[in-house]
Amino acid sequence: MSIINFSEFNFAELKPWRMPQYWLLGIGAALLTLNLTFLLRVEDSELLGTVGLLWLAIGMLLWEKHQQLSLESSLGATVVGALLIALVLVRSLAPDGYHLRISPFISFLGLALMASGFRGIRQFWKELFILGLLLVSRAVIGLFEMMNLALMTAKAAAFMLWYSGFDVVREGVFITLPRGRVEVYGACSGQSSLLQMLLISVLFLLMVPLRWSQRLLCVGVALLIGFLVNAGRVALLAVLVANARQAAFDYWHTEGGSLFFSVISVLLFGVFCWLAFLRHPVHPQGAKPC
Amino acid sequence: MLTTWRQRLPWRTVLLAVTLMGSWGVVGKVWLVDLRQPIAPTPLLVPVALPDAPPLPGWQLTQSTPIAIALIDGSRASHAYHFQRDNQVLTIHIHYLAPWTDGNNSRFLFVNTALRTANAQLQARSHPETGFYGVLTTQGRAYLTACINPQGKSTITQQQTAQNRYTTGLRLGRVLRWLLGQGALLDGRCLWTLMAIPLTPVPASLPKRSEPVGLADGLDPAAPIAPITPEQAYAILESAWVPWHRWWQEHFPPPVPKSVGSNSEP
Repeated sequence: MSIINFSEFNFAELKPWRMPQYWLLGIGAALLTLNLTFLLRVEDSELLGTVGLLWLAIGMLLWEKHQQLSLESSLGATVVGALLIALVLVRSLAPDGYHLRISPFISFLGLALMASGFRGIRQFWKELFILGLLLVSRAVIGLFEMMNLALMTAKAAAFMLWYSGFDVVREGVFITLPRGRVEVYGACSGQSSLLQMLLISVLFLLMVPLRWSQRLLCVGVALLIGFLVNAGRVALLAVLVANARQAAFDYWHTEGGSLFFSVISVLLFGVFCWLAFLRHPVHPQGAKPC
Repeated sequence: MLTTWRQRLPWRTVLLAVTLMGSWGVVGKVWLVDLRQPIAPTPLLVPVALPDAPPLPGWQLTQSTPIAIALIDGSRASHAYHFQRDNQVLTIHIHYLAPWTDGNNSRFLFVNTALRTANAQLQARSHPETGFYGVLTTQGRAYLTACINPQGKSTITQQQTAQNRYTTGLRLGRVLRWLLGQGALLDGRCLWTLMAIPLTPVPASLPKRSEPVGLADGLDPAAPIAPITPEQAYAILESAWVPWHRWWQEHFPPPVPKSVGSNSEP
């Protein structure tokens, strides 16, 4: 908050341009616009959904505390912040220079430094954590790739099919039904749905205070839901292939269909959170205040 | 008032103002200039030339032609080599998949070759020096397939390829350059090799390139040659694969710049 010297208080002197919050808001709006512009250009609806959700969460977090924010910044912090923002801006001028996972983090970091300096940046730890997750999401996907997620998904899907009475045989990542076969790899192996559920559960945890044991449970259940729903989708795709329903397979395999399953995962997770944590919103013992 | 304003112009307001104008200026530029422009046509990809005559000890190169048809996966260069040794004919197709591929050989076979559903019979094998490779037999021919990676072992599945990339390619310098937007985090290229050998050997009476036609080996050209078993074929393929992998990893083609429409990291 700007310190107003009461001896000089004079309505005629109340100059909005002296107050940093308006400038910061303006800069923030520009950076957000830049991010959304490049996001829309790439036409990756999954990334768009994820990043949109992140910005929504960040907006809510900032709104909750905007009255209590301290907006004092040192010269050094402001300069460093401005340089970080300049880095993002200069790179945006080059084609493909804006990196959709790194630039949001750097933009926000720069803005936070200009807002509250090195000392006050701790106020924004949650927002930076969220954007930091976006930053390392590529590495998380790599981790999933190395874990042979495809094989686990194939096993789960084959089990679901067997339990439902289908005559199914699984060889490695191939699921074979009497009249068709699917191979589970890449996008179908569940990487993106697990990542999405991880992000959503972390967002939830940043907003709702819970004990550590509850937090682990929350993340664990989110990942499990994502995994199982994706395995169910693979099972459905296998059945469609076996019945030679190519058009239906194409639909459920790509954009529209996979979006449907993501929505289901999120809804299931929402129901779980409601039943487990939100129904009795008594402040739990031992939960660290956020 | 003017003197007060000039004296008390805070550095902070100046920096904030400059940043505001700069950021909206860039937004304006992106909207008005970049978005109005029609999407630039895909620039002509600079063709990468694969070596014409890679050596393969014990084998003689009889034919070497570039393959013009692009794969569905989008290879930057494809080449077909034909080798011969006594009564064996070895065909090798090599595809330079760059700048990024998932390394899923089973899918390569299904999507890009006539083998298609035969990919279910792919057997994974491993060699201590080169790494993983896959073999299969279909319609009288034995095949060997693998991705030669710029560093590390050869791989055939997406998981192996990812693991190899992370363990051999993740270096601090690369990470820093990635953060600054200079280049990808990992080297996602692979030289997809597909070797094939018929199970029924070619009769020895076919003239070799440099020797005169005749009973050079003392064999009767009219006598039928017995077909070989798949395991024998695999042994031949593996014996050719090891020096092949060694040579190509040392002579890996140069990296290609990322271009619009080419395979890129998810």
